[in-house]
Amino acid sequence: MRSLQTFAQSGIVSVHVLRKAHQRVRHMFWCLSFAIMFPVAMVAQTPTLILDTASIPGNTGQVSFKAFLSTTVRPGTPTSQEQYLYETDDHKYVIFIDPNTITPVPRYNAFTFVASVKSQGQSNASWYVYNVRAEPVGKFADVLADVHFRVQVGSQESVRTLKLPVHNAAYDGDLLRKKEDPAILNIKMSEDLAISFQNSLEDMDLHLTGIKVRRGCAACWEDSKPGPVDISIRPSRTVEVPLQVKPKPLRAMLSTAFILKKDSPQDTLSVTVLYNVDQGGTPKEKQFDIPVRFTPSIWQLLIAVIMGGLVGAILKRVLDHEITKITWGLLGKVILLSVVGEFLAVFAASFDSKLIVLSFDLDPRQAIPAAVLAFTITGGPTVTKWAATIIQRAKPGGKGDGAAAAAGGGD
Amino acid sequence: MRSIQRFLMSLAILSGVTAAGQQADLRLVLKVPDAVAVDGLPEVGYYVLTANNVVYRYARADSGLQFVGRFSLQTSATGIDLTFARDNRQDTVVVTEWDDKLHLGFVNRYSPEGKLIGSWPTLRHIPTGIDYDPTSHLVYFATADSNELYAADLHGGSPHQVCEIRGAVQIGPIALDIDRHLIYAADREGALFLIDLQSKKVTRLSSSFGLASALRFDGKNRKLYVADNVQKKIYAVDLSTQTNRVIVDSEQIASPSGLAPGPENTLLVTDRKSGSVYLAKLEALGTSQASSVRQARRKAVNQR
Repeated sequence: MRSLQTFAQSGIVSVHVLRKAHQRVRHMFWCLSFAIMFPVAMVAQTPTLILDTASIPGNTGQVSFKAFLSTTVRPGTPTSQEQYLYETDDHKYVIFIDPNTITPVPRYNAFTFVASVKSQGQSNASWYVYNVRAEPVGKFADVLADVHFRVQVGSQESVRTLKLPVHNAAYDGDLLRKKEDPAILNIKMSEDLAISFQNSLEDMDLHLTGIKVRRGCAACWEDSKPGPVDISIRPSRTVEVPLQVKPKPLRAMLSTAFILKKDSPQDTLSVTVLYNVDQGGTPKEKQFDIPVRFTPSIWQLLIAVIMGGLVGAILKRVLDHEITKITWGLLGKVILLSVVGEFLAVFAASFDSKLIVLSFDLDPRQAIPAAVLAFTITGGPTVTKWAATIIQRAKPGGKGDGAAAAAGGGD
Repeated sequence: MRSIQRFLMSLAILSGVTAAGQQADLRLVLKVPDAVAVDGLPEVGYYVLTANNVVYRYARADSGLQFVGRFSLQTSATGIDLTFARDNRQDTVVVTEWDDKLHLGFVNRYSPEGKLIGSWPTLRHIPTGIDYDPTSHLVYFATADSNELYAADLHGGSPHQVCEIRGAVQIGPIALDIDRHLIYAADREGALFLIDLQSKKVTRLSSSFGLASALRFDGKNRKLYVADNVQKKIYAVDLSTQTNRVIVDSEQIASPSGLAPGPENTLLVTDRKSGSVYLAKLEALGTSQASSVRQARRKAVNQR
């Protein structure tokens, strides 16, 4: 009771003192009162924006948010993108998320964006601008998530759920190679190389911004049409992406001439794709190692077959000590035999049939194996036996020194 | 009636102060896309690390900054932060790097031409903010996964742990106060920590931010500059009072990523989103603020 009395007395005294005080002191009192009261009044009227933690479907992660009131309060309407313009359930406020402001913060695997809130119904009401920090946790795919938000003014609260793009730098399963593509890519010698990439996300676009290709066989490739990459892949869609390289036909054929096994890649390209999920996704890099086999054009194959056939026929004559003249008829026979043989071999290979030539499993669709096939056909048993003997010697564990035999020498 | 008039005058003075506090003299000096960190000095030039793992080197010129050269980081890891380190022998750049595929971290030292001079592996720890003490030749760096502070001698030897920054959630940038043997560190929640390098005592400061992407300590004025990536502002923290003051608040700043001391009381600010490098005049800001207060006061006196 006594303390109450003391408090009342002190209040009366201070008002009395203020009245008696000098003008300058009174002025300072007002300033001080204002300085103390002004922020309190502002805070009381400024809506507080709270975005609740969003759970990602499938319990793969969550995203927490923290909104900071910005000092800028813009009058008028923000450049409207109605996709992210929402009214609270009680129609008191409008919230606008500008997708252009979504900015990744890769160092923390976080992202930021700007949200604006305005009182509904007042045509000249200002927008309160909030900078929001979003922190994803878990390894989930970027998604348009349901985010519950609250606008609080004093004890009143207005709520709504909005759709918001949430990003996750830790997820790398968004960009994939097309599932149906073979493990080893067959590349036509005459064409620019392109690979099909798939966007595995359900509701967000992928934006490809760059492609870097590292080649195993540098001499086998040349750059084609270099230029900026700007490709969008719609959700769950596949797009063929040019790699801006193409094989150098002769170099590729010669450099890989002795990689004859059907299932062995002739080169491996290391393709790094630079991309980001649209609407503020973190810039990412993903590397794809793509084994390739060069496929010659029909004309290149035909030339290889004829050359192989001719060499075989000439060798046969040399080895059999035949001294008859080479006539047009003989040439025609050689070409016909080689082409028909190649045709049958390709036909058989297309049914996964094995083609064993000189004890090697060869792919007749490749230039060098096609030439070898024609060589054995036109050369007949004499040339085949002769070639087999040399190969036998050259093989490790075969008769004689391999290196010497391959060099055509020996003691 | 008169007192109401005076009240309104006070309001004018206060609003003048607020407005002055938000304006900054920003000058665009460079365009560097995707800059993630910057360090250097006006007299030796600046090094800018970009998201595609390239370090650009600039020297001071009459017109601003002039491109001198660039080099790519020599590992498959991603560059996170860098510091300029000058010892008796040579100028170097030390970069914190993390290889996400191998899950290995490195603190690599490069010559200005990009030659890898030294490398300290941090193994499974993600190295993040880095700063250099020229008096002890120690490079200090923090780890984002374990929230530890390490020191490595530029002249050799393995990094050793200084202390753990308890209470921090994913430490980011750090800044060194060489004279007082203190380190300031910020975490992903915007909290600011003070680490006493002698006593190893860690104190959480009352100042906090949306998300600090860069710290820069100003020994002369005993101020800590903080680039806030969420609020898109540059703050000056008065370390004696632990109060924050906005020194750069501009529409031009979209995603501040790095801070370095500029020439003549300016601050070099890199902005990742806009790919710009700005010079913010710190002196002009203080002057304009003070003068606007003086003008408002003079007006008030005249109207009395």
